[in-house]
Amino acid sequence: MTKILVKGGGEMPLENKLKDFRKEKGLNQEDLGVLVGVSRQTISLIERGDYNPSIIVCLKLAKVLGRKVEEIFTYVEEDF
Amino acid sequence: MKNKKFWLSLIALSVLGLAIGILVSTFSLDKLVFDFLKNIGELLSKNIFLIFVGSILAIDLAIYILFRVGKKDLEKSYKNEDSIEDDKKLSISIAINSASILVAMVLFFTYVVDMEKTISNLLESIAVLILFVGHFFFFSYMQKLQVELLKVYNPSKYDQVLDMKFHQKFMDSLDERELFESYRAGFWAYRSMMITIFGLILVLGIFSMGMGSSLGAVYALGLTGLVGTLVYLLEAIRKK
Repeated sequence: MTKILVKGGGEMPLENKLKDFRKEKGLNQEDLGVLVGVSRQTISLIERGDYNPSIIVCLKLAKVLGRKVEEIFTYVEEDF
Repeated sequence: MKNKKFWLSLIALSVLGLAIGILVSTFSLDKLVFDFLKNIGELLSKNIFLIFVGSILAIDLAIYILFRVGKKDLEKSYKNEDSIEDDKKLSISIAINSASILVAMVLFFTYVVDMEKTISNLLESIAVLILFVGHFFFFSYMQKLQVELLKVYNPSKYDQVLDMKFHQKFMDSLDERELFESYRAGFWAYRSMMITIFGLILVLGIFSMGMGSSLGAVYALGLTGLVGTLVYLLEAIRKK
């Protein structure tokens, strides 16, 4: 599975598996956007890690993809 | 560290102010600047017809070309399923289209302010009026094309530009990311405008004191700044 680091607010690192789960479901970005209520561009930016969605969008994504939010977005502790 | 930066900035600005004050009093810089601006104004007034026609045609051409090129870029970027929309040129076209109304109005009023010249050059005046009104139609037409194009790639966007509540309904049709970007852009635009208004009030106020000219522009700018601040405050304290 592809793991992409997401730019969080401040120093918060996230792992994002949205693209993998979306392809598993056979959906393109536009279809997923329509189902979740956001634009194709927004889905693309989430997958690239350039936008952190709100909790509502996260929950909608989880529902549509049949996954838990924590499976799609994972908080990664940084090792110091 | 922050305090040090603040005090250093304050000292630097004070030194700059002192230097400007010395220059102004030694070389009558205020009079030189005023004369320079007056000469620019006279040059503008003398060639206003050519400037008006040239500017409007150049702006309209730029809007149209950027729209066509922007449309191609958008279509190209949509060919790859997972790519980011390339809407930079289209966005620039939209921005220039919006700003063009202000430019057209400023140039139009610069032309008609000299009523004697306006009446004596009737054909020229009619041409200016036709171009001015024509530009408003062009603006509406381009706005319609731009919104229609956006709707092709974003079907959920509101596109009835002639609706009196277009801007409100368009904002309501944006998703959370687009709203965030709009508000961020709006905040920085507000901040830049307030700094510009402050600077202009300061400069025009000082010139008015020195040259004894009217304070009309200062009052207009002050009112604009107050309206902006009031709207910002009302939005900030609004719960929903």
